[in-house]
Amino acid sequence: MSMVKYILKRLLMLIPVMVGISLFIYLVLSLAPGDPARMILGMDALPEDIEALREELGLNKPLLIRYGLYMWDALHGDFGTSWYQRFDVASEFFHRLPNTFWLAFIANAFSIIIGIPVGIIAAVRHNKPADYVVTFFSLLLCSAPGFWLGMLAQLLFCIRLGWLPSSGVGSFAHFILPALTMGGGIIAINMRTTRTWLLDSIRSDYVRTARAKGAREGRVIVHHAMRNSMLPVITGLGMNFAACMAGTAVTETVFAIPGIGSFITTGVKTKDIPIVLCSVIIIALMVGLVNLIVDIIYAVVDPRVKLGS
Amino acid sequence: MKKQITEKNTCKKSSQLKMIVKRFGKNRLSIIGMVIILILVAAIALAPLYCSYDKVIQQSLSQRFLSPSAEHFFGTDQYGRDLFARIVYGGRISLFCGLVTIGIAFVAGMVLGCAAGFFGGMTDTIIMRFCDVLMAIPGLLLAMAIVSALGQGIGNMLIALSISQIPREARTARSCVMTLRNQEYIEAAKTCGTSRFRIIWRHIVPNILGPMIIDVMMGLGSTILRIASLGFLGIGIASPTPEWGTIISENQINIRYYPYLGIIPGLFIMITVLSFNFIGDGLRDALDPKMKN
Repeated sequence: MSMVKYILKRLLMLIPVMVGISLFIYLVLSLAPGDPARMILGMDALPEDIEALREELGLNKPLLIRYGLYMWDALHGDFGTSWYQRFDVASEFFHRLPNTFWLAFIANAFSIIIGIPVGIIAAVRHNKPADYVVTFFSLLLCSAPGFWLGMLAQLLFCIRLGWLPSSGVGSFAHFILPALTMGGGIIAINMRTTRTWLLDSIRSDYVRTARAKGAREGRVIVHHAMRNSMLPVITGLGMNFAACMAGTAVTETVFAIPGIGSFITTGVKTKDIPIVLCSVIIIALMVGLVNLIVDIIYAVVDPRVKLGS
Repeated sequence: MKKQITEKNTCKKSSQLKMIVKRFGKNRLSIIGMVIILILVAAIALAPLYCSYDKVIQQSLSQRFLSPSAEHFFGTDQYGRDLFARIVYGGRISLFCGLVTIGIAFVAGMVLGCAAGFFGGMTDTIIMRFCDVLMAIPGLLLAMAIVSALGQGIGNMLIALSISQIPREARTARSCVMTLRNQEYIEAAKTCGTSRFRIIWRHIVPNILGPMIIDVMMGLGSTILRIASLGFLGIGIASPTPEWGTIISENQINIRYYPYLGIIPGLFIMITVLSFNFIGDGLRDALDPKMKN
C-alpha cells in the first residue's frame, strides 16, 4: 500500500474517533447543572429575556440535534461565542494557539536534545556513577509536580539571579523556563527509554559482531546500536506531545502565558462551557494528527513496518 | 485424598508468595519507598493524636510568616496558619483521594477489561472504542472538562480523575486477558462446564492481578500529581481545605520572600510520588521474573 493511501486511510479512521470524542465531551458538558441562559443573564433577568436567549442559543432543541448543529458549525470554523465575555471562541483559540504551539515545540525539542544524549551516556556507562546519577534524576523529574519545579526555577533564575524573564511571552528567552517546566517529565521519559532500549541493543548479537569485526566503540554505539534503539523513542514522541498538552494548563498558569492552557483554565473556572468544548475538541484532534505523523515517521525509519498491515 | 490436595495447593501458594516477597525485598529502592510510605501513612493517620485540626485553619495575624522553628516545624503562612499541620492534614486528603481514584479505576478497569478481553466480538469493540475515545484526550484536560461540567468539589474531582484513569486500567486488563483466553487450562475449565463468570473470577482474575497491581501503583503516583495540579489551578480541592497542591497555590505569591512555603509541600508531593514509583518498580520485578531475564 502506498504512503498516500495509508495516510488517507488513517485520516478516515480519525473521523469516528473525533465524532466519539466530541459527542462524549458535548454530552458531559451538557450535564452541567443550571440553565445557561439564566447564568448568562443573571438571577434577576426577565423570563421573556431568558426565553429569547434560550431560543438564540438553541437550548430548546433536543440534545442530539443541538450536538449535530454544533458540529456542523464547528466544521465551518464556528465554535460558538463565549457565554460571559461574548467573544468568538474559535478566533480567540487560534489567536492563543501559537504561544502554546511554540511552548510544546520547544519542550519536545529539549526532550530530544537533552533526553537522548543523556540516556546514551547512561547506557554506555551502565552501572557506573554516571548511570546512577542519570537514573536518579530522571526518576526525580518524573515524580515532581511540573508546576512546582517551574515555580522554583522561576524563583531561582528570574527573581534571584535575574537571568531570564519571569512571565509573559515575546522572545525565545521567555520560553526557555516554561518549556523546561512543561518538558521536565518528557525529558525524563526520553532518558529512560533511550537508556533501556540502548542497553537492550548493546547486548544483542549484531552489536557483538560489530565489535568483533573491529569497529570502534563510538561507531558501534552510534551506527549499529542506536538505530534500533531509537524506534521506541520515536513511538514515544506522540505520547510525549499529549503529555505536553496536558501540562499546558499548569505551565501557562505559573508563567502567565496567554495560551490554550490558561484559556481552558479560565473556561473551567468561570464555567464558560463553549471555551472548554472548543479547546478539548481541537486539542484531541491535534493529538490524533501528531500520532499519525509519528506513525508515518516510524514507518519511514523502520523498513520492517509494512504500512496498513 | 481431597484434603491432601488442598494442603498441597495452599503450600504451593504460600511458597510463591514467599518468593515474591523475597524478590521484592532484594530491591533496595522499593524497600526504601515502602518504608517512606508506611511512615507517611502512620504520620497522617495518627495526626489527630499530636496535632489538632484547629491549627490547620486557625488564623492569627501576629503569627504570620514565621520561619521554621521548634514551635512551627515548617513555619507559618500569610494567615499565620501552621504549615506543618496543613501539610499533615493535607496529606490525608491527597493520599485519600489518590487511593479512592485508583481504587475506582482498578475495579472498573478490571470489569471492563475482563468483559472486553473474554467475550470479544461486539462487547470488545464497543468497550475498546470507548476507551480509545477517552484516551485520545490528555488525562488532565479530560478531568478538567468533567469538573467544569459537574462542578467543583472532592466527589466530582474523584469521578473526573477516575474516568480519565479507567481506560488505562481497562487496556492493561484486556491485553492480559487476551493472552490467557486461549490457554489450555481455560479451555479445560470450559470443557468441564464451568460458568463463564466463574472462569473469569477463579481462573482469569488471579492471573491478571499482578500486572494490574503494577499498573495501579504506577497510576497512583501520577494520580496524586494530577490531584495536586488541579488543586494548584484552583479547580480541585478549594482552599482553605488543605491539599498539597492547593497549599502550594495559596503560597505562590509569597514564595519570593518565603521560599520554604512553596518548597516544603512540593517536596512532600515529590517524595510520595517517588516512593510509589519505587514500589511499583519493585513489584514489577517481583511479580514478573520473566521480564527481567
